[in-house]
Amino acid sequence: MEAIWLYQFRLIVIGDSTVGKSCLIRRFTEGRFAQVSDPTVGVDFFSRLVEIEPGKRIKLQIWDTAGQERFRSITRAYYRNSVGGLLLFDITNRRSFQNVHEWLEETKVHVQPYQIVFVLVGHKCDLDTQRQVTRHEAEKLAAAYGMKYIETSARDAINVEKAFTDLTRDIYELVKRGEITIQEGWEGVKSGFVPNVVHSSEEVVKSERRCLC
Amino acid sequence: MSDDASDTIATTDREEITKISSSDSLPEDAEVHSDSATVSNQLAPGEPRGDVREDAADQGAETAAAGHPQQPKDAGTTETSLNGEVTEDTLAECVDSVSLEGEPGSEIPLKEPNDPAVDSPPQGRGWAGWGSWGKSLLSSASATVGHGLTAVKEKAGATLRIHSVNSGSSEGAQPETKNGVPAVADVAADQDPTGSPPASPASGSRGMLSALTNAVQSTGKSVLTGGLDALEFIGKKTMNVLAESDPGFKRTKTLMERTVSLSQMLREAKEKEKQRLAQQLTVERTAHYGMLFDEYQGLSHLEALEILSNESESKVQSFLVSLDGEKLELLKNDLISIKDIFAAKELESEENQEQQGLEEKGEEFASMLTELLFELHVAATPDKLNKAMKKAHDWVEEDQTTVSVDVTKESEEETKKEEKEEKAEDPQESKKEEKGTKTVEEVYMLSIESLAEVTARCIEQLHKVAELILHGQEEEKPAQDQAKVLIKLTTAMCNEVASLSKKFTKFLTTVGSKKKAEVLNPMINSMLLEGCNSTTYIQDAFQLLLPVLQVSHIQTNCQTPAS
Repeated sequence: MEAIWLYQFRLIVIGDSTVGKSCLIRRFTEGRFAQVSDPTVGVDFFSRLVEIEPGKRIKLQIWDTAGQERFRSITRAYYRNSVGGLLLFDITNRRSFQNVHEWLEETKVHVQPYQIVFVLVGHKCDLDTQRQVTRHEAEKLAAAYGMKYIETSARDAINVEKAFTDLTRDIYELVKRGEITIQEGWEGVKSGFVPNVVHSSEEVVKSERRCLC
Repeated sequence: MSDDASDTIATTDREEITKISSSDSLPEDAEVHSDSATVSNQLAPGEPRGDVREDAADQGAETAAAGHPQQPKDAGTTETSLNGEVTEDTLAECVDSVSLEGEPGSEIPLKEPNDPAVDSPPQGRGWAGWGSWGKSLLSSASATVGHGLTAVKEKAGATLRIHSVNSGSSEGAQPETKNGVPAVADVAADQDPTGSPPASPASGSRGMLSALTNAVQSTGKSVLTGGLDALEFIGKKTMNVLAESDPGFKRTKTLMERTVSLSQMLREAKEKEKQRLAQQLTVERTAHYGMLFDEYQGLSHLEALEILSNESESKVQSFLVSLDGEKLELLKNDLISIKDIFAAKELESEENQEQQGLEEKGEEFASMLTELLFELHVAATPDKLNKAMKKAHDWVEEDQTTVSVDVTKESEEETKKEEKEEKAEDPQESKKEEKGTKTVEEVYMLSIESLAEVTARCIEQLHKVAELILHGQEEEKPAQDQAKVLIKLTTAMCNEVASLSKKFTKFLTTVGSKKKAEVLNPMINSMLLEGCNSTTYIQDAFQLLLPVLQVSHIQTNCQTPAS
């Protein structure tokens, strides 16, 4: 078990149902792709450590939300405690792309007073022949909302790592620059943890004594 | 933080805090202090393992905790005075105010920051943080050790009661907190401060308190929220202890606090710790229930369930407000009847716990689970929980057959380490390979891990049920009926977890029969303790379902779902 990390970021993954949110997360956290997967009920959880610089690990706590409308009221409650998000659409499903606006509007309302760093993800890019959304228009939309755009495939493991680590890096930069701060009562960013607190406090005592001399 | 806070201690506070989290302000400081006082207070006398912290540090924690909130006030009068004597007075006063927990006197230091007469500097967020205090604890427990001391739970309740009163009167809690506060106040009042550990009174686990108590329980030994911040406070308290026990040191201390950055020292300590850990992977693996529980996403599910529960609670309230006269009375009766089911049956289930299900096999549990979920009329599948349960039963049974042959065999350090790494990736696989050659430590670790996994899955199951009750039912079943099924479900889970922990304990005793009592007993104790905690978690999670069922009832019977 790797217990030492610098920060914990909570990320939320949203988008229409069947765009492949859970599959993308599973690919990222478990390295697997499931051909069949049940629709997500409410919210599910995954976590993984990401090393953004040598020795600097960040724990990602990923909230996988249900895309289905009926669970919308549940998932809304989770926006405000997230620092970052992946907004997915399916490049073979035009409708899911059109709904991106709606998703962004919704998060805007519910994330207050905090902010979420979003990345727009065009998923299922392995199915290029069935593409209904061009890369260009997706990039344009992303730019209009100040997001990055990336195309991924959970099935062929394309850009999955990159989607998550780039987002993590961006957030990390913001944290480093102080534009995102750790706040009491907000779960988006937590500072790292040293497993053996006991030992550390003893160390402190020693250091103090040493400093005293 | 405004400038008038700059007294001897606050100065260092400020420096360090801005270094670590620039948003911290003094009231939050105080919060953390008092919360650590609660914890450490409890730990000092009852801690069964000697490796926690020095008693002195504990006392110091108390001292500092109680004393700290006062210091801004004193500082206001002495203002930047470097005079050692003044500081001494301040410190002496702090000591006096350490009447501490449980006594009514403890309310005084805790309330202090709210006193309008005190010009405690940063009023920006005031005490609004109380709700979130529980929450942050909750998630901090993620990273901590699960030496739950149930006594802590009651303390937390008491402390929270004090604070919920405060935050109730102060404005501007976050939306979530607002909803939580009345419930919490309620709950804390209901709670019998001498109650036995696993008993969670009917209302005893709604809202923030449950998260809080869970968090505190599982936080247990390692005290506080997030890493460095926590270390700093501990460090500061340690300084105070040194000062208290060594009067001559006082002056030096005040000087030192101005010149030495504690966080710097702590960072060094952290680095050392890191190195040490890297070398001692084996030791560090030793069964951190809380961490494992979080790794299996137990805490996340608990948190999400709690959000759901709080939202439901506020929906119920707002719907009740919209009614009057007979309608209101009728609905109230209905809601109360649901509540009564939750309250009454649970106690009963606890009594039965002893008789039932001691020898229950995993398969029986699985079929019971499926049946009960079906009865609930929700489309929840128990696959994950069943799998975890089976896994837990399987490794013990497999090992039990082989272990008697070579009880005393100690596997070499190297293989141990390898196994550890494997386990991190795929626990199941590695378990098969190491059949029958486990040491006591390994059995202990596996037991704790299994317990944590199964408990996490139980919580997950309850969370899923809650989500589906609210949003996934094709065919509605009366909430009262669902409540009854849910009780059976919870009881089954608790029984199963209890029997699992007994099984593990038994096995541990067998494997460790040649070990010295000093080695074996702590393991067995903490095994039993975590087993106890596990059932408490599950029962607490179950209680969170009450508002969910109530909302569901309103939705089906009153047609106008409060949105």
